[in-house]
Amino acid sequence: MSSFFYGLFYISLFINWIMEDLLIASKICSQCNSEIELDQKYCNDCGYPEGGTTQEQSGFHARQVMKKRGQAEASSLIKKGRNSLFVVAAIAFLSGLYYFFKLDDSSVLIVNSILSISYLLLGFWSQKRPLVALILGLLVYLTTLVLNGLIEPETIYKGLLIKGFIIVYLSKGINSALQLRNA
Amino acid sequence: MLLSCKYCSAPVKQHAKYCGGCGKAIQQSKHGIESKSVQLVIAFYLTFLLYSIIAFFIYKEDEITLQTEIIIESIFIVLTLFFSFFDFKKILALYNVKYISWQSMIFGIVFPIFTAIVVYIFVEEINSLLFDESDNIFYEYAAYNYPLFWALLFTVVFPPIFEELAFRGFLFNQLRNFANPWVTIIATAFIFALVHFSFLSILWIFPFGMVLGYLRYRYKTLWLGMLVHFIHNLLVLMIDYYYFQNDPFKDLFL
Repeated sequence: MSSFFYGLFYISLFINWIMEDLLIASKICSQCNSEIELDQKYCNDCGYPEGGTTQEQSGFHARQVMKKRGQAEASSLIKKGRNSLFVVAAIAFLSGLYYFFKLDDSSVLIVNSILSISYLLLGFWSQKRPLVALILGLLVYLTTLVLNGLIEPETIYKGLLIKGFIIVYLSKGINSALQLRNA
Repeated sequence: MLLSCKYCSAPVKQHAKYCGGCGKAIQQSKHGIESKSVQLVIAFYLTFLLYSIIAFFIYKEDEITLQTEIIIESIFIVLTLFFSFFDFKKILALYNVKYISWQSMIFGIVFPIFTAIVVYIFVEEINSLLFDESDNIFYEYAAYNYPLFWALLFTVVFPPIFEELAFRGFLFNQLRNFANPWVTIIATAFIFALVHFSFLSILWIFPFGMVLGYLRYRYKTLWLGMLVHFIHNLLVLMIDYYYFQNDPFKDLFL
């Protein structure tokens, strides 16, 4: 008789074990194919409300679209920042050439060539490391503006619009690079 | 370790990116720290740009007295200390000797001897070739009483202490918050070269700054950078002093 109860006890343990396994068995996220525990409403990997209402699910899709659009916008602003570095590189080199032929001053050409190469390198580097490259580009640009202004004060008001655009594009690029890192 | 969501306090698995109970992102976004560091780096640079503009106009005056020199130098020191307070604990930790090895000490002594000689030969050559001028620092101090003392103080003692604190301490730590070690070393060296306001000097100050940045990264200390910087500046000043002593027209500057 006692062996019967022991048997029953082991069977109930076995059933319990099976049930436990069934209860925490998981479902699969329809968005990223990772496992979701049955008692959980949201996917641990992508945040999709697998167990939520259709309204919540469409809200998730809408947010994804918004996020993608924001990222695309940030990428295009980074690209504009990069392009403004290339523009500044061209301006630096051309003005160096101009002074070389007008004043026969080779030192300006050499300094501007170094500057121009720095901008080019930063521009190319910004494809890999947009945040740091654009920050350094902005700092170099501000420094040249200040130095030019100190050495030749009459140049401060020259091309004010272009200077403004370049600073704005570089700053926006930095901001976008910052956002994209944490997207 | 059992974690729980800070929004809905549901239990959260260790590697989960989103809470299963409320769907909110679990990982703390580093956006706040990163954007603060970016702002600090730019603010730091703009402050020193402004400082240089003011210093430029003061130095433009014909007669620079020792007093104005001391004031300008003190402003730089105060600004550096001001920015360092934003990151006080981490910077303080850099004044340690735990990781310094004998090899690094020997390198720290030999390397600046090499750079001082190279810089002296090449920079003098290029400067006299292109700009027809000499960079001898000593002439600026020749008019003061005890010129050697003031030249030593302003070019050999202060720059290693406060430039290392500003660039390898403050700037390095802030950049490290949003860049990996190598990018940080390159960026600090670049900014270090940039603030010397001579686009020709970028060619040698940039690699010099990279070595200083690497020493800071590898040995987690500011002492080695200060040693290298100190010996380099000392040797350059000593060579300048030697040429000044042998200048037949030196009495014109006294």
